[in-house]
Amino acid sequence: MTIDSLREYLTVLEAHDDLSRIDESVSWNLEASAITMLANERDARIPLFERTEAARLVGDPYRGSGSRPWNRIALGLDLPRDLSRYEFYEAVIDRLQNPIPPTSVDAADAPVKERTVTGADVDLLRFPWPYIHAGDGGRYSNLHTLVAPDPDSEWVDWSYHRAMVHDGETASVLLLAGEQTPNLYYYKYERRGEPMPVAIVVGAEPAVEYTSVMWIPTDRSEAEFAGGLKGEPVELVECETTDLRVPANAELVIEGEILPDARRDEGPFGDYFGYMHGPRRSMPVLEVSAITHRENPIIPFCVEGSGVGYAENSTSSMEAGCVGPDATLGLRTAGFDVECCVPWTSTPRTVYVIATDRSEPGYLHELANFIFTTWGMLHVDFFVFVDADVEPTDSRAVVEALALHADPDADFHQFGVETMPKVPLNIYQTPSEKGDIQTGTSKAKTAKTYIDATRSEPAPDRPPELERRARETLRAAGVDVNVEDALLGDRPPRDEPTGGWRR
Amino acid sequence: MPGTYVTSETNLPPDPEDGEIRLQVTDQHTKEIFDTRARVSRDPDSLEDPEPLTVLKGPHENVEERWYIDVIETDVEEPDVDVELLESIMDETAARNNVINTRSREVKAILLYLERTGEFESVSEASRQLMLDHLAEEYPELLEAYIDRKVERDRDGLRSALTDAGE
Repeated sequence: MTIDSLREYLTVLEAHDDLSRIDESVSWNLEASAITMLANERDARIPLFERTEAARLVGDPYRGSGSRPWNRIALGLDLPRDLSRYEFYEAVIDRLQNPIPPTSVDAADAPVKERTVTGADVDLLRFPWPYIHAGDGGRYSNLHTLVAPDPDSEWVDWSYHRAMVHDGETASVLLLAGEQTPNLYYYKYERRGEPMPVAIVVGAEPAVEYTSVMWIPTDRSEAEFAGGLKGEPVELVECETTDLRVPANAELVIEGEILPDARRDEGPFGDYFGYMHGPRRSMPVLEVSAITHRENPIIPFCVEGSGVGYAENSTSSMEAGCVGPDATLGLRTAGFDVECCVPWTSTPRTVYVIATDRSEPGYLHELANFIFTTWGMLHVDFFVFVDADVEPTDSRAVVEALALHADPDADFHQFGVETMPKVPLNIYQTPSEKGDIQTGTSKAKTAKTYIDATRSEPAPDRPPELERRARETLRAAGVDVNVEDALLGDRPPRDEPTGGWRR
Repeated sequence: MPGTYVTSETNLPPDPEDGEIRLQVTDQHTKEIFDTRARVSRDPDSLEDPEPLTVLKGPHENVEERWYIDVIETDVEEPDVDVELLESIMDETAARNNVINTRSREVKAILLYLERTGEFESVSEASRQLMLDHLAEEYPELLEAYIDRKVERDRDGLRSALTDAGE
């Protein structure tokens, strides 16, 4: 079975007794987000708000549970929700290595075209875009896929950038240079004085949403990787007012252009760091030309900032469940001996942990440099390298590795090169350091760090069959080994990467 | 958050209480963001039809100050800046003299008065400063577009100079 739409995914959640349908009238103004934040903190069922104006809202639909933040993401791929971290990562990596090209459908067959509004009838404010945090600069769409084409090739980028609604036809979009779509806009379209056609796909099927947060290389087809994840081609349909093709089973699509040399306020916003970030900054302007949608559409949103600490939200779970396996595959494909690359639990994006068998200082430096320069790691401030037998999603194990093996004098390595862009949403930069309003990204303070927490001596041999036998013995004796199972499962030997994910 | 309208301190022009201004505000209830022609003041008695205005301050805009706003017109739009035209004019003015000529007995008299009462050092300074103040108030987007381009040109010039010096 494949999960072909967001609403089909929600049906699957409901079958697992994991969805709360809320029939009471709930306001988009702080109420929906407050309820969702509480659900996130309590690891409760996913809330579907059935009575907000003109459309439904669903709060953090991809939020996972504490010990397995990928569990609901797995359901979106028709995978079991109780897979260990290892099993889930290898399943996703296998699918990414087998991309499937998309197919096209006519508008008549595309659920996202059940309603179409263009021109003067376009009104963004008809829909219940949530006002998520008190102090936000406006209402936001922040769990969607932004589709933007390269003007010089056939490549189309699928990515995620929050959008703040201004009025019926206008939004500002957080575009930070260093990421693929913002680079297209700032360095190609705007330099040529041309508008960038875009489509914001709201409530796409899970495989599409997962692809939009992954690090897919430039010039590779995002739709193909989404098809690989899904196990079937993604169906695409042409937009009404541009040549872009968008997922036909999405809930709602906003079509328009991001204008050159135009800026409007964007923010403040409580983003993934977990605090209210301001002040507002000038960001590019989206002018909306059409809105198409299903009947009674469902608009997903993320309570950003609620995924730090012990709680999860869609962002933190997708970092662990989508970006992690994708980054792992990417590093292996680039020839690095990497067991696993994951965001450190409780720090969506800011810190990544890499487990590797190779720990020579020069090798780790090369690996860190590759990541920081090749993928323009805007959001990651530092990496922690651990040995391959340290489970990187186990915070205790990572802290233990740091305490035991990271020499403050020799194992903390800083990068301070201006060409590495840095996200300006952190708490420690002053507004002027965050500057460069032209392209959004800070260039004033770009220090990045990696920490070598690998052993200086090899660990004693611990044959895996012995380990497995020990675990089975413990289970038979009634000892709870759930935590280890959750993380490791039964780990077969790893194959060399093959298939579609290549540099 | 109290108040019907919300704005940021960064949106307020210099001396915002001196007459009519253009101000971007957010409707507190709908969260719609739009430009207005308005008068603002900390004192509601100085306005004809005051409505509450919350002004947000601080690096994270989490400090609130109570002001009042008298909205004259909403959804005010400044015409889009023709960037190509602006660039060519900047090329033109860079190559020619920067004197602005205008004939007006009235304007000259007023400017001379301002010079002789010590408000400005010269007629030239008075006309320059007053014109720039007026442009900043009436055509902020045009001025911003000019500044952005000037900064970019200066940066490119500096970068070339550094590159040439390095060679």
